[in-house]
Amino acid sequence: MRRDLMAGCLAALFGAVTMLQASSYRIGSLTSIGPGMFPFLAGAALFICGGAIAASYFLPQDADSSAERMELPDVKAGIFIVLGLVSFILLGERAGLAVASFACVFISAMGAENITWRGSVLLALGLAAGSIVLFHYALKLPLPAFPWSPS
Amino acid sequence: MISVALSDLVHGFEVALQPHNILACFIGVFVGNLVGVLPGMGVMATISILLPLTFVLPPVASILMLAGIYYGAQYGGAICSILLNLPCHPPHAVTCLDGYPLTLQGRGGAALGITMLGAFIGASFGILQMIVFSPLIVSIALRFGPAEVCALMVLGLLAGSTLARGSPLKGVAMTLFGIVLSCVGTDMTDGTERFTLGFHELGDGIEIVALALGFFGVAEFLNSANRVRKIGNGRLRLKFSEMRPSRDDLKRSLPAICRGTLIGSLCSLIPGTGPTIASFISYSVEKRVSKTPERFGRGAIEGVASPEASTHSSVQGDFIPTMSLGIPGDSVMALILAALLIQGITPGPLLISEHPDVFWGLIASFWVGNILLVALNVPMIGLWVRLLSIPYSYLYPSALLFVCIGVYSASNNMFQVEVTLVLGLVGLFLMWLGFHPAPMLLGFVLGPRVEENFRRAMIISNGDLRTFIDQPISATLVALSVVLIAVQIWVRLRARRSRPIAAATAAIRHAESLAEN
Amino acid sequence: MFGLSMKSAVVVALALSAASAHAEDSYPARQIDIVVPFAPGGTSDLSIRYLADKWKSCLGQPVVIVNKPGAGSAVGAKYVARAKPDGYTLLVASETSLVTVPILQADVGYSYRDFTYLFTYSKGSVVFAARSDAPWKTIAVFLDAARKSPQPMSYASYGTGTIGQIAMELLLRATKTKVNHVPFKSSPEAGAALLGKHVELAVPSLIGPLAKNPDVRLLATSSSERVAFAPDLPTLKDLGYNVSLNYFNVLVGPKGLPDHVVTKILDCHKQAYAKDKKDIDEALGRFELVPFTLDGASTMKEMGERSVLFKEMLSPKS
Repeated sequence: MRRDLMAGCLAALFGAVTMLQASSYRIGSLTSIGPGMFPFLAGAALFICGGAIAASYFLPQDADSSAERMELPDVKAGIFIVLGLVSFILLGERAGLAVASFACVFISAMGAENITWRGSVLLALGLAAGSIVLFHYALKLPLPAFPWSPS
Repeated sequence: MISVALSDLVHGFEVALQPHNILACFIGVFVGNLVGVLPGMGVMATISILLPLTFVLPPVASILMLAGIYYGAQYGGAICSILLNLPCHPPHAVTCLDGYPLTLQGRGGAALGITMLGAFIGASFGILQMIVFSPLIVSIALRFGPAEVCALMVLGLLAGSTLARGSPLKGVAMTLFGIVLSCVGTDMTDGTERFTLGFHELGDGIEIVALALGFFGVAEFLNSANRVRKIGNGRLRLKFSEMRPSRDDLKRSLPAICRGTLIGSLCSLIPGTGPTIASFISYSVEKRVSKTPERFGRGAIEGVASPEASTHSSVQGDFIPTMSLGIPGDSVMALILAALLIQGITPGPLLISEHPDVFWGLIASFWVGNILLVALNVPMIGLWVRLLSIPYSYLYPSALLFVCIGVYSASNNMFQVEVTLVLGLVGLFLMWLGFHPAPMLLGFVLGPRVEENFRRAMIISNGDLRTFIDQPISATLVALSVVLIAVQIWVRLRARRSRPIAAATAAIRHAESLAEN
Repeated sequence: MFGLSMKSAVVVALALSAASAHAEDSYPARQIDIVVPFAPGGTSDLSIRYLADKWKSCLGQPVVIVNKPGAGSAVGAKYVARAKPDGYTLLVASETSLVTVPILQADVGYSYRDFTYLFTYSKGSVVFAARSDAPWKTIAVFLDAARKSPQPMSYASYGTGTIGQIAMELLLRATKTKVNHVPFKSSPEAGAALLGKHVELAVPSLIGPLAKNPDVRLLATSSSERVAFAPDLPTLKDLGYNVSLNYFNVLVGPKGLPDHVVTKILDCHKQAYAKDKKDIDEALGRFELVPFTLDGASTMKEMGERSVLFKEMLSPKS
């Protein structure tokens, strides 16, 4: 599969970058091992392993090594999931848990196909209320609860 | 000796069955169970919230409660792994591998049932072990110094790097990727910051919760949103027979549970080797010893039974070094030890004689607690499975929120949520390339143990590699590793020689897949 | 419901602005967060949880302990260094966060000077522990054995840059001895390595369980005077070495904290002390801390001196 070629090359590249970066730390010797030795070796192994994966593209395949085919993810849903996470990150400490929870659920639900506006608003409201009760009051998560709560 | 232990145990039950102690135990396991179901929500955070209570509660009650949170959380932990492919807590990440495929086949209820059985057997063994042999076992565990732990972890890595389905080479690559990720952070000997890309927040490395929930959780949501309507067969009502594990399930699971239990109890005794390592190692062992390893990753019930039993026996076993030596195996146990110190009780070899009510009361309450947990959870299985009848469009935004909050709570830091997002995207890309995230998690968990113990061993032996073969324990482990590699190579070579037909069919498939791409 | 919340928001906002007009009289007007830059369960975490509980009635507002672990305490310390200096975000600091981390992580972005020091509320120390069956029953015999040993011996600490490592290195420097340093992640792990005969000596901070273990012999404490929880344990000074090292548990806030905040919390600490001295001392003793109060200015001066000393001890040797 062509994906194997790409996967192998990427793994090898990542290994090479790791080796390069690790060599900027002290490698040391066996008596006094530096912080660079272990990541350097891991990077080298990854480089070799990536090379082998890439090489296997040119060999006849084992029956069991053919990875299952994967349907491509839904781009629209994916973008809204990312935006939902970003909204939680941006709002959590500034606007508080209630707003961040609402935004996170509501925005990530916007990408879903079979959910109505009403449904996603209700879901987001319910979860925001639930997370305030559960995480703010019961589990004492150190995030402000509401925009007007002092942080 | 045993009869003395028995009469002490009876005394323990007298302590544990006092109404206020039962209440403390119940509150502990109930809160723990609840927290366990929430993704990422740490036992640490929960215990530290309840810690001030121990300033005023009597010693026995407070310790029963805190301990209950710890093992109670493990009962909840497997539920999301099996039903949603969401590893709420790191020890249960490996349960996803076979638990979720079982759910997709509509057998999530049976998987949960087996989990409960494995949990109870694992925990019971952990407790028994604490009663009967703890001094002996502890003395063996102490002989695991840096060289031995390093050799053990290398063996774990070798055995486990092919634990996911798909190409073994890709499994090894993912393990190595996990090892590289585990190097991120401040170096242990001279404080060099490695691979932090200038982010100080990465100084303590990547939070394992962020990694697990990013790679399994966020990546999975990205992948399945609008592609999956409902998880499983989506029927609202389950027949009881569908929740009960079949005879065949039991036959397959019981030996797996026993192996998992033993591995878990061994891991619990070695300092710094907690339930997460135990569950990963027992899964890979299970796949190694299985006659049908190809079933793993496609819904093998053993793949759920063994790591779950291992987690639970490890969690109970964790109390042994803490109570009998005052050496906690992980940070949660350190917190429980601190709670004892607050009460003026010092764990250690003299604990049993100085505070028999604490020691035996705790052991007895483990049983009380585990029975309570089974009683709490088994009737709930049906309810949990009904979670799946919620359409995925409602499920994934909700789960995403819990992931955000859980990751934040791990270190009360928004940066880790950002890390989760990035890792989720990386994880999706890797999945698309045909890499499975599980071996990466294994590398991430075991890698640092290999490195730090290798370095310690080298400092102690002054750079002499012979330290690994001088002592019987590490020599055995090294020999096992060599055998493992040799067998792997031999099997591959033999397969290569005797497969002209297989090669031909493979070549055809290869051509097909090329045409498709 | 929303309208009601808006109304209450307005009320709160009004109350807050009124409060800021009389900030001095009314501090604290809301809950105070005290950041512990470590995971729960350590001595600084436990001791501040205990003390905060005692200050509550005097402060009239809840005190919430927030654990912000990470980067060997740098994450929590930096968070507080950059917080608004209004007295609602404080930090429990020690040498680790104030001195060691800025040395080991050169670009951490803060130094011990970036804080307002309220006061030191206790100090702690490390112990030198060996196995009971080891031939060395005293520090002197151990050091002698280490010098004569053909293979370098090793000691276990609970981490690089910890007081354990620095105290040991000070002792080794004073006696011109070489012993290899093996860093572990926590005191219990260091203790386990000692019990398993993997190292010759351990320098843990929390000794409770070890002190009661018949297989372990405590040789000395790094404290400047004997400690209440192990009164028979000699100090290094008692044994004739000119080495002593304690770590301080200090309450600090962001730089530029108003004086009235410092005074208020110090007053509350003193009040609590006047009321429950015995209880507090006993509780601190359980966390193996020595009750010890040092004002902010002296603490800061002390940290400055340690900064110089630690830099010297932690600089990479050839």
